[in-house]
Amino acid sequence: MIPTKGLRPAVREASEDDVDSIAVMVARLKTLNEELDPSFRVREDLLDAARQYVRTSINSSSVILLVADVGGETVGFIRVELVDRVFYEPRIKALITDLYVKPEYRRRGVGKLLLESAIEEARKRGAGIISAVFPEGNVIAKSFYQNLGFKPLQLELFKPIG
Amino acid sequence: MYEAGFTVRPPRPEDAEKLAELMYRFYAFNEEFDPAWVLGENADIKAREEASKLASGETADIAFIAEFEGSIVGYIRGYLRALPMLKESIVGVITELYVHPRFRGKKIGALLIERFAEEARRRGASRIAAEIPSSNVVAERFYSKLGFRKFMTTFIREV
Repeated sequence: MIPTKGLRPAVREASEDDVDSIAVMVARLKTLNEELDPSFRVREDLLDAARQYVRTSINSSSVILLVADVGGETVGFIRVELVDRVFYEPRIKALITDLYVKPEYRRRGVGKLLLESAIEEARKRGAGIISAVFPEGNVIAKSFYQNLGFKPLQLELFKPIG
Repeated sequence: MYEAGFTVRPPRPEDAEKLAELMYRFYAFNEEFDPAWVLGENADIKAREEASKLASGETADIAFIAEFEGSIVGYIRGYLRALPMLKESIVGVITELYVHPRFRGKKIGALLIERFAEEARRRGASRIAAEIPSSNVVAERFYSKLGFRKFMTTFIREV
């Protein structure tokens, strides 16, 4: 393994050609969430749903979808929604809904690079604040964002009613 | 103490396929925590081979599965480690423990550990231990809650 070890990751905007590779990563992220927090039970046709999700994201003007490539392979992605906070300033929030880097490419700054690139793009589109949502049990995400200076912003509580 | 309907028993040959799936999930989960755990391309095939061995009782390993309404929802696997110089010379080491996310929070993991401990004791062990990737904070929390304490540390590097 690791002929790509020395190569630097490059970040670019996702296109239609990336749908399948991003969808696999979306599915892995959601499966990881289920592992870390059983309240996030994934659906049976997860991969199909992921493909649809990626396609819709690519075509949406309020979504930023970036991928990181290392030596020709797509190894990570970030998805950010631009949200109008209506009552609060700054009005436009960049909300990170998904961020995933394949395990074999972790610990070399790919996630941080994706985040920085997304921040730059979000700023260009008028965002004045960035936040991230993930399951309470996702300790990996929690430490990632905390290490990069993110602080708690909102709390989401739930109870099943079905 | 435990939720009704779960049984823990040694695996049988007909369990191999479902066991393989759980083994694969166990490794895929750990892969998320440490790049040293990155799975090989044929990990699913290897999981099937390992599961068949375990299910047919061909190994010296200690293994149990947890069953609920006819389906396998978790498993435990380990071996006896000899430390001949020690006063308490045999340790039962848990190397794999996995419960499907949909069946978490029902103390199935604790139940599997109890059965493992019982079997290890029967085979001469006076203690049990668990090996986990040091970055797997979920497993660390789990074992700490069940009264395990840090015992050995494994260092690793590329050569």
